[in-house]
Amino acid sequence: MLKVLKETSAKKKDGYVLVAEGSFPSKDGGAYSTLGEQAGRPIPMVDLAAELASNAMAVVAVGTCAAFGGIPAGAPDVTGTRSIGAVMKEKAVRKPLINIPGCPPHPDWFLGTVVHVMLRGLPGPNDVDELGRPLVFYGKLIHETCPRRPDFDAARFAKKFGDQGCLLKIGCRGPYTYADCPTRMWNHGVNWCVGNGAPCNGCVEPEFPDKFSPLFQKLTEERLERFAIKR
Amino acid sequence: MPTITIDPVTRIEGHLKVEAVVDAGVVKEARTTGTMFRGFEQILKGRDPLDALILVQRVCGVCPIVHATASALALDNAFGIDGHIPKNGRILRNLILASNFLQSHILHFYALTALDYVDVTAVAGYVGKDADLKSIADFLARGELAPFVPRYEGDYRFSRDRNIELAKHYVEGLRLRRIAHQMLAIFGGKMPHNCGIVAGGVTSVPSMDRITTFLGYLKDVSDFVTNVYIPDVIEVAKTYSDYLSIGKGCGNLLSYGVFDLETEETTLLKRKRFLKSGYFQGNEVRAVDSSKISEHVKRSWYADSCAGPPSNGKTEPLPTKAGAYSWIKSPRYDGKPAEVGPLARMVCRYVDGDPVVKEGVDGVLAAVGGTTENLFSVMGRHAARALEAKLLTDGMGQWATELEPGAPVCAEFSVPQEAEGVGLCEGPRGALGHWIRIKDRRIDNYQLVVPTTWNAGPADADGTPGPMEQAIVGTKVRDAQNPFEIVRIVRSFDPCLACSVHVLTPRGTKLGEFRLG
Repeated sequence: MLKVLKETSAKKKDGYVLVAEGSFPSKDGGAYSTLGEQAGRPIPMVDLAAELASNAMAVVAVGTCAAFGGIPAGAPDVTGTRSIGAVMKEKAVRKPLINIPGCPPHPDWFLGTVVHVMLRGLPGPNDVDELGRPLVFYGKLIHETCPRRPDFDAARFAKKFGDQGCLLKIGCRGPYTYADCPTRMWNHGVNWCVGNGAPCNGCVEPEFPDKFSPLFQKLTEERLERFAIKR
Repeated sequence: MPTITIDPVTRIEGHLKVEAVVDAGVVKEARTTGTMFRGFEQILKGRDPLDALILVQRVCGVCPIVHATASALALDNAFGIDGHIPKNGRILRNLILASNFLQSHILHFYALTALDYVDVTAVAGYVGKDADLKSIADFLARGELAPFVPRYEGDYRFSRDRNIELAKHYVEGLRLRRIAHQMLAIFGGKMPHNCGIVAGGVTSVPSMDRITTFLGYLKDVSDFVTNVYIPDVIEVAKTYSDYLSIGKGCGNLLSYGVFDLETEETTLLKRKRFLKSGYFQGNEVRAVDSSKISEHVKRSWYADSCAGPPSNGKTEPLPTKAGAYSWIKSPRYDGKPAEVGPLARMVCRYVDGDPVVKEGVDGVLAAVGGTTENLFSVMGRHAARALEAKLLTDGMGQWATELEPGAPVCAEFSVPQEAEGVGLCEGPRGALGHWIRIKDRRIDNYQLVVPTTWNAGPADADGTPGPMEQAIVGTKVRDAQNPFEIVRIVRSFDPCLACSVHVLTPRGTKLGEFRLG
């Protein structure tokens, strides 16, 4: 497997897209995530990723960990782990970066991006938001397209699990989260979090999980101000 | 003595390195190393207890549901509501989790295991009309064969025609796994990382239309398990019959039980469950005594104070600890290693005399010409997994009819200031336990002891190797450049390294090295 990665990097310089999934630990020399060996020592994933990114045409970060650090980067950041974007910045690798966050990311978001690259090349600056996320998938707040919006507007709120109504008071982050879950839904359009009676936890945003925690409590004005969560 | 190093082991969940020290073609020592560590137990500390339901699922994208389940059970216990889960909530939790078992088992046999035995390159040049086979042939015709090749060579035994038919089943398996995910999402919201299972029950009230769709998907999966998956396992076992005697393991089996049939009994190991708890040793099954579960850290890079029962467990990394060589703690039952997983669950029911399991197991053994001793092997594990899938599809059909549309799904609760809770259940890969301690309404301590930690754990203080290591030691490796035997044994355990959380490193001295790939 290592051979395939190394050969691609060497022989197809600027001719491949690196897809990065998961975040990249840097503490203790990157020992917390390694792949294969070189000269008798395990290769830190963070170094391998930087090398593969430097020869790529572009980098796609799949999932919130790769895009923003995600749960492993949550307090207390046990392993010093970072997004692929942060790794590239630190190692001065300047390549176009597309972020497809989500915990997990919807497969359509990734596949749609791959097909875009194949048919029309890399997304341009008008195709992505300030976090590098394709607008076709991440352009609207969940709150804007949620079928329970009439409940929110009429102040019909669920107070506990199993109640009908808007889930704001049991922790829904829909007003702060950009994703098309309400319309695309999940697993071939079968269901989605709010449709299942569970509050959105904002898993596509950099605020997931720490700034959005506690996940099952309404975000207070104080928290919104303190963490400058503005949407 | 040369060492065969396989890093990374592909077609498993997670990051694993295996090293086998070989003498005259026989493995003398086996060392398994997890090559990724995140520190979930430290990340959970200080957070709101309910956040555990969301965060623990991210331990693994293949089996997040079992972590949500164990977490919910631990919270139920800590909140004092474990005896009062509404019937709908109990059944829906079972349906969501069982759907996860089905997708995981199908994924394991087809996407992860099959290509050890099926030569997919036989499909090159296929000129028939089957769309799945044509898509494989087109892929091969591109000339770039990754990820199918490079691979080990020299031990593919099926004829060209059989390889082609089985390759079609491989593609069908991918499709059916997706259907099992859809089934899960009907009541779980989405998969991976469901949002249905919570403390007190589930979030969604079932309606007749959802139950109907669920049953439709279940039929598709059930037909596949009965008509394709089980026959394929039998055929692979017959064609690779030496693997009915390879990879025995430690012989002790442990199951906590899973799929609650009631919730009045709050001691989980005594609760009536569809798959019962049990500890198998020698020839008999005994009741599981949770006080016999402990974790050793003698050879692990944690402060010595981290040893002991998981309820007192700690995770304080100490990479400079003298004499230690591993990140994994060694779980032990009654001081001995124990294997967990479908084999443990099926054997416990078999020995108990369960007629359905007996018929299924005896049927497979008759078909392959084996005895119960052959269950403790590579093929025994694959057979147990497939038979369990059938047991579940049959059970789920029954459970779904017991749902009451519109009835309550979740018990009310409030988060206490201080409490302790434990959640014991089974995931596709085996026994799972979550232990939580709450102080000041926050998580003060959270420990997970996961199936692959039991299976892939290192030697303990007495030097006794873990189950997977024991299964590899003593194996004859025919060709050190293509060590099929080792990876086939590893894969039969269906290891999930993300779940084992910690990092293992080698034991013993390296006298020479032989690096591959």
